Amino acid sequence: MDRREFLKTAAVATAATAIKLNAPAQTVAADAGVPTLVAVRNGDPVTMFRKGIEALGGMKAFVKPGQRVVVKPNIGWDRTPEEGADTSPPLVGEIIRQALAAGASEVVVFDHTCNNWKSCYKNSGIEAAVAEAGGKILPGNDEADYVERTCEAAVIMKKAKLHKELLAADVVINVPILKNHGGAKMTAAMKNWMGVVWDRQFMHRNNLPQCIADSILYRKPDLTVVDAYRVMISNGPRGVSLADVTERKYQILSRDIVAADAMALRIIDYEPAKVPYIAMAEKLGLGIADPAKINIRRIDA
Amino acid sequence: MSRIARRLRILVAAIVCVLASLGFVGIIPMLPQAGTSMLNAVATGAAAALIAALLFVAFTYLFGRFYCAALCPLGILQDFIGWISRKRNGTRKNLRMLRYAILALAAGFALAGWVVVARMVEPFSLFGRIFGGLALPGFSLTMQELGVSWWTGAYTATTAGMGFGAATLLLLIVLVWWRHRIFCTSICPVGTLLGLFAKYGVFKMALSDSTCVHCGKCAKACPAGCIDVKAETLDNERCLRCMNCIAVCRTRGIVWHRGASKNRKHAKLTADPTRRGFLLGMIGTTLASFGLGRGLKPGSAKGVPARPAIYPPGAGSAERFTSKCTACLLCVANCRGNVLLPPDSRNRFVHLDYAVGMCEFNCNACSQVCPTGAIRPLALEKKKLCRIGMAVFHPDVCIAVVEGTACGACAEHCPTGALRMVQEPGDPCPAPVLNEDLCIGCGNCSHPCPVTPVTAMTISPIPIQVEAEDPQTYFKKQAAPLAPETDDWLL
Repeated sequence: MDRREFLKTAAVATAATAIKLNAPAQTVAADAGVPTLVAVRNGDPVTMFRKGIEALGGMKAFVKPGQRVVVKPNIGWDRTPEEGADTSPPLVGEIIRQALAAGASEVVVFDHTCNNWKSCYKNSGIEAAVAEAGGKILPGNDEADYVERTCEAAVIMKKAKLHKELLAADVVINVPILKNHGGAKMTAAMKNWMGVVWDRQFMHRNNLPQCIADSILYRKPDLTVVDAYRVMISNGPRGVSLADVTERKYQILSRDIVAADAMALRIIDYEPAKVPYIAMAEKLGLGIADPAKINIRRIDA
Repeated sequence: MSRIARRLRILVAAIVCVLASLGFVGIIPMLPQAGTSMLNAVATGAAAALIAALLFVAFTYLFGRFYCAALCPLGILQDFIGWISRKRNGTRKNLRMLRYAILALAAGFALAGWVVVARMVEPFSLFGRIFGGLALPGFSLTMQELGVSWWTGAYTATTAGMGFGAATLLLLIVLVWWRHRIFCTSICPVGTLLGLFAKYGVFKMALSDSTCVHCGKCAKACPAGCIDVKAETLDNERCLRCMNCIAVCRTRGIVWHRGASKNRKHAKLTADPTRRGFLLGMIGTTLASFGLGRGLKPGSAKGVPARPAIYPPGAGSAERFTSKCTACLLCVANCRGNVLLPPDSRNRFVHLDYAVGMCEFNCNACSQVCPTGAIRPLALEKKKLCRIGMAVFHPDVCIAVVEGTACGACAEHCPTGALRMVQEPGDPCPAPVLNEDLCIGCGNCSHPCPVTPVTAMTISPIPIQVEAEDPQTYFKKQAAPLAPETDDWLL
């Protein structure tokens, strides 16, 4: 954390405390009732998001009027929505609509894709969904759009280039899709942050799980929405055929990116030991990994 | 003085410029071209190419070489260079021997399977090398340098590609400065062939017996140099139908006539006194080069061995591709993975280089755009099975094996499931295991591999492209059992 960032955080924290002190008692009580994590199931991604975000206090709890919002889905692959490699387009659209309704000045979407970015944006259906919802989709394939930052707290990735839109945003919403992953075993909330970093090869080369945990330090998302409607359970993260994808019809919403991954493990039915970056992130103080300590609200949509 | 025809020609040429540019960047299909259609018909026997070639020939037989003035991108480019250099024209020598020799050689070799000989003279290929090799990457680089946000195209800019493009353009500029469209009247084999049809065609142009006042304005305006006022001839074989002469003539001294009926006198004057000699020479040269080409037939024992490299899906084999590709670079410009490269010092043919990119699985653009049929059209589903190389794993440099670093970048990107990360008991972390049956050599493993300077996954060239096993059926056989249906919360 550099000085400017520290001052910013300090100022925000002070302001927040001041507001809390002045706020009426019932607001504080209502805050206490907000769970750490909301799990929704048995609905379509849009309905599940509507119920889930309501339980977290509504989009207004995250987005204030005039703020710049970045929504970061997984658009890594040149595949169709049915193939379950990229985040559900209607879900991305709904998040954008709600952010704009909450007063966001602009909602920007991007991903540093694995395949040709134009094909990914188009064939995933996300480009169309973003345009329809009134958001703006930007390329993430140009190194010139990435800005170098350093982070002392990081264990390995002490410097990294991050997308300028992410750094400029007031609010960042992480919208991954839950998948099996050949290298990292599971990809959901934290693994999706590789798409805001320029040099992925560095991460692969230098202890991938630790680098994934480190990447969150550069800009923690304010909200994570894990799309687990379609779950790729084999041949991930790209998938080979429709046989790799199964419908689980879940969604996880949380301010805590580590908790989101810790619970996503159970949807894809993996042991925590299999996905070491979750424990690493908890060690960095990025969130809670122990399910017993996570305040969960379960909703049937 | 009728300027309308000339203006119409310029308008059509301008539209062609726009359409050809859009074709090159892949927004619309490329306009059919006479030369590439002929080569395609010869190389693949494709009906569409044959019909296109016949239409060009039939139109030229009827009205003359309008194609050369209004539709050929290289012709339009030469007119443009001539226009900005204020090139002055005049009556030019008729270099029959040169153009017939080039046509005979090119035709003979092309018919024998060596379409590649047209590479240095086929006009669309030359234009492509300028546009796709130099102009497009140059424009793209400039736009990126200026930070123009609406420009999102990234085109492969290689030193060799830009160098060849620049050299071709320079040569063209020199030729235009020297003798304006001498390339079209004396070198271009497509023009020569069309010219022969124009020469014996239906509607021809000529200097009028009655209205021509021999002022010579037309000859000075003619970029082909095909008007000789003193001899009162207009050589329809070389005439590009640019309509410049009609535009400058004040006495309506240039007329259209049907065949040889009206201006018999002029037809006689343009007739070649040693026609038989030329005809024999032509046929002899064509047959000789055909025979030579057959002797060196692509793939024959006597043939030059093709350079092993990764060639685009649909190329068939190294031998086939290197005997057919005229390097127009249309595939290079349309390559979504930016992995197709122009010929360079190491490989004199269009090829893939996984150091710069990877072949996008969900894309068959190169095989769809190839105008000469050097890359056969492949349906997307077939292309996804087309093996263009074979992955080779080098455990001695793989960081998962050597350093125990859990990486998996290769398996992560593999689109066919040919690579997977497997952890044997005692291994520090999972390492890649290759199933060769599923590998198509697309380089999606090699390109993202973080090992430098030589990646732990490389792709070896294979001599003949074959169909790999279909992953859809392969994995259906061993699909993972689905989790049991349960009403309990999973979390």
